[in-house]
Amino acid sequence: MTGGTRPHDYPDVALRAEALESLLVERGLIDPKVVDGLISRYENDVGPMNGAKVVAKAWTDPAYRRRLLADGTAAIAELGYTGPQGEHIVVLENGPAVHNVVVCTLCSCYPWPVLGLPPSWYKDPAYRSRIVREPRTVLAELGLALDETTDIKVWDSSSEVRYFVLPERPEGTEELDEEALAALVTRDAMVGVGKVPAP
Amino acid sequence: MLGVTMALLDAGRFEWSDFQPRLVAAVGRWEAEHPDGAGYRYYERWTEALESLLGDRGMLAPAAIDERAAVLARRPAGHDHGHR
Repeated sequence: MTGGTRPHDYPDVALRAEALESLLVERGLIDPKVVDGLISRYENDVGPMNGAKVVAKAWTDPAYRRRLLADGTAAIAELGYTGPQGEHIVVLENGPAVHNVVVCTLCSCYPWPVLGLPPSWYKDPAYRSRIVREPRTVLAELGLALDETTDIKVWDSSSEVRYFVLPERPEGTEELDEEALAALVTRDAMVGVGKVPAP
Repeated sequence: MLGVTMALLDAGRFEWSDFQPRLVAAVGRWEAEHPDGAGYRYYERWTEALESLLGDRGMLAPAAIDERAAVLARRPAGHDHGHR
């Protein structure tokens, strides 16, 4: 194709992204090594394994659990999990009577320090609109069938707050230590679209 | 573009509160134009939001990106980078 404006098709967006990065580097606005470091950090160091440790500690340490529910940001920071999107984390406690689930209806807000980057389905228009309108149905489609007597509360992270779910501790885990408990905790349970399975 | 955005934030070029409303606007525009939600690519919304912010702040004009993207498009296959 010669001349004219290229339509913004997908392959062109990838080219624009690369163009954008190279220009920013050339103009001294970013350092590519910093970009590499951040990408590596969010691929390797920041992810749901962090949140799982927070959950396991809350399950085994009642005082920590109280601190976590009173001030999520501070309690999570006690374990060293701080950083972008972690400035204001509110922790929601799931139980048999109330099941909390998190969404960002407007974009993809997510508590990065404890969960890493959000999965595609979380960012998708279908989840974002349907979980608010028909939570019980959407959760069932995602494999979580909740009793009709369980109250479902949907929390929208579309503001300064990032919500994080403290899931219920499953049966049969009394003998497990924190490390073993953390290994059971799933990302989906910390978003509220699943429960932590019994071992 | 997430790595690039975080590097820009890290360098203090703008705040998250400057970027997020543009992301919300880009998402909203796309959804208004595509009521069935099919073909949604979040990466594109993010890139759009970032370009708009950089352009408005005078850090990088869309025309400069157009030019450079055209140069990159003429490159032989196999050199394209992944998502950054």
